[in-house]
Formats: sequence, C-alpha cells, structure tokens
Amino acid sequence: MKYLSLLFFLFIFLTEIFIHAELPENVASYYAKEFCSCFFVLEREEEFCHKEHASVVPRIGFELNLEEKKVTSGLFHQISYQYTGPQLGCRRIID
Amino acid sequence: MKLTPIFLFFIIFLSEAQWERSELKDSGINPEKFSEFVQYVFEQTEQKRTNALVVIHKGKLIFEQYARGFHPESKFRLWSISKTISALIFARAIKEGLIGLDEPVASFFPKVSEQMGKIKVRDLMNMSSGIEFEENYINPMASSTIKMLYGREGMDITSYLTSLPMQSPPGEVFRYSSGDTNFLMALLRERLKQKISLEAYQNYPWTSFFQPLQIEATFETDSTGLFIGSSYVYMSARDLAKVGELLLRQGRFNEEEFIPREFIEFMSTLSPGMKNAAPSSGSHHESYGAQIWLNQIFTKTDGQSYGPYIPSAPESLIIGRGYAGQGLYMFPHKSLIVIRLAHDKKRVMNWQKFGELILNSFEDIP
Repeated sequence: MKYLSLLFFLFIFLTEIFIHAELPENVASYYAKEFCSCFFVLEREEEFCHKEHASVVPRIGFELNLEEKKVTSGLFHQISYQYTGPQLGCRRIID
Repeated sequence: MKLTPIFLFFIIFLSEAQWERSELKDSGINPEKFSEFVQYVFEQTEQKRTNALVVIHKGKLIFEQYARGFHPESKFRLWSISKTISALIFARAIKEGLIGLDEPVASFFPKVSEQMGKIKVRDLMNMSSGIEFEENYINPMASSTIKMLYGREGMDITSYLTSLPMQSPPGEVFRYSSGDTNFLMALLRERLKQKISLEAYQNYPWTSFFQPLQIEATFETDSTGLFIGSSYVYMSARDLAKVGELLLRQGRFNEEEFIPREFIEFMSTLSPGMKNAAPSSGSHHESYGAQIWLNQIFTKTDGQSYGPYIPSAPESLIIGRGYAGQGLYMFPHKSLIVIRLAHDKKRVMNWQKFGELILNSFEDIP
C-alpha cells in the first residue's frame, strides 16, 4: 500500500512536469543563462560558475560547447544560450 | 613579446580606467574607523561573498579591494543597478528630443488596451505603470520576473509585457517592477526604429552613453534584441563609479550637460505612487524615485510615515541596488561614492550598519 501511494505520487509529479513543463524549463534556462554569463562575460573559471549557480538550482543535463560558445542545460526540456560577444553577452537560442 | 615603453603606457593607462587616485591618508578619513568599515564588508566571506569594494571621494579613487578571484578589470553582474543605468540611457534620448516623459504608451504601441495606452513614460520610470507584474524571486510559478528573465515569455519580452492585464490606474500605485524598466526599453526601441533605424537602437547604449563615458559594458538582450534593462548590464566596479559620479554631478560630464539636470532631479524625487505603495514593494522603509532608491521619509495615505532606509545618512543619499547584495551608494553631502558588489544571495549584509560605518569614517570631513 505504501509503495502504491508512492508510485501514485510519482505518477502525479511526473505528469505535472511533462504537462506543465514551465518549471523544469525555467530551471534549465536559469542555469544555462547564468552559467553562460558567468563563464563568458565575467570570464570566470568553469568550476567557479558551477559553484555559484548549483547552490540555487540543480545542474541537470549540462553541456558547455567551447567551440560554439554555447551552454545547454536541462533533461527533457533543453535550453541553450550562446555567447555573442563582449557587447551583447549571452542570448537564448530559439528552439 | 618585448614590451615597448609606448605599449606599456597604454597598458597602465587602460588598467587605471581613467580614475585619478588619492591616498587614504590625504583624504582626511579616520583610518581606524575606515578599517572597521572595510573589515565589516569583507568579513564572513562564505556568507557575505563580497566581491568588490570601491570608494570614490571628491572625484578620486581612494580605496578599492577585491576578493574571490575578482580584480579591477573584472566585469560584475549589476542586476537591478541596471535599472538606473537604463534610465540614464533613456534620458540621453530625452536630451536628444527623441522622446518625452509625458508621452503615452499608445503613441508607441497603438494596439494595446485603452488603459495600458494611457501609461506615461514617467509612470514607468516611477514604477507606477499599474501593470500587473509579480516581482517575486521565491515562487517560480507565480513570479513574473522569473517568467520574463528565464521563461518562454522572456524570448519576446515586449509581447509578454503588452499582454499583461492592468491592476491599477497608471501613476497611482508604486509597485516595484522589472517589467516597467523593460517596457521603457521597448518604448526606446519603437521610437528609435520610427525616427532613425533599428540599428540605431542596437548600438544606442554604446553610442549615446557607454562610449562617451569610456565605460566597457555588456548589455544583454532577449531573443528579439530588446535590451533587458531591468537586470543585465555588466561592467567593472571602476566603470560603475563613473555612473555614480555622473549622478553626483547632476548629469554633468566633462563640464557639459550629459544628462538633463531636470531628469536627475526627477530621478531623485519621490515617486508619487509611494503614498499608495503596494505592500510587497520592498521593506516599509525604502523610498523610490525614478529607477533609483532614495533615503527619504514618506507618508502613505493611511497617515503613517516611513523611512529613511539608512537612518545615519541624510535624505540626499541616492542608491542603486541589485539582487544578491549589489550596492551603489551616492552621498552628495560628502561627495562620496561607495560601491559594494557581491554574490550575497542570503542578504547577510546589513546596509544600515554599512551606511553608519562608512559615514563614521568621514564624520570629520565637512
């Protein structure tokens, strides 16, 4: 019975995540955006930037592409930001 | 590579970032009290996370200290101090006759609702547009700020803001809103597009403001290219001090009027909507002007008086403040600018103590 209610709770939780994708998407967007600005605009080290933002939201599905100056975050709803240069900094890529 | 004397000169020139220096001992400051202030700002490193402290007195750099790997050339996140800078960029367009404080939103966006169309530029500056906008960083599902900065809505901030309902008539209720600042950026874009070109808007912060002041800034945009004036300006602490100096000098730069004096006066005049300030807008003792915090006493319609925010400082103090403990404090009575930049997410800094300690070190200076 205990496991059944746990499974039910998990089912509801995952349904919420998939139907109302706003929350995980915003979490992914926050991490990608703030990491991108920390790493490319503030020119801080990768470890420093992770430490600054992982304390706020979890680091999930993270990818740093140095060649394209692109930062991606998120598991099911991946969000990417790209560094455009010293004037305009990081901008979200339209998916 | 061998460094020639000319090359070395340029390195030194650039790293000094145009600030003349003065020794602390020549400023007449009480050294023991000043040292107590510095210690307070940097103590509890792990909680307070102060990254930079810069002090400018009578137009000279008298002190700077950096921590946690930051240095004089580092750029910093300014968060909501960006609002003050965005207002000054906007004021350049006012000075150029491109835009007016009393123009209604309808003259930029004719298709918005009738009530939204009546919002004036000055209402947005005063954080009193009346647009329903939840400035909240705690509940991500209810927060308009989080939606605007990180959600799908934030990919086109102009469409998001113009789609929001009105909560109160324009100009009547002060409600601190990052949406109001970004709405101003949208008006600036419309006007520059109408009168000059879209390209003029894309370069405007640099051509009209940063370059003349020799500020190296980053200003991020949404996916449509709208400047996110509420939150995303980045610059060094020394460059931020130039913004402070411009405000202390009532908009004058190089002995010329760079920002209209009347606009600076408008910024430092209490927002008329403060008398009806919404309960969620900051602490009860914080007063607001136009895209800048003030230190004034104000009375609400219920007859109760509030403020000043920093009791040890006079009402002339003006403050640029940002998320996670960013502070640009300008004390006109002492010709003093104090900048503290940080990653103080837990709000450990006690700003009342900060103000008291810095003023204690300057108490013998007229």
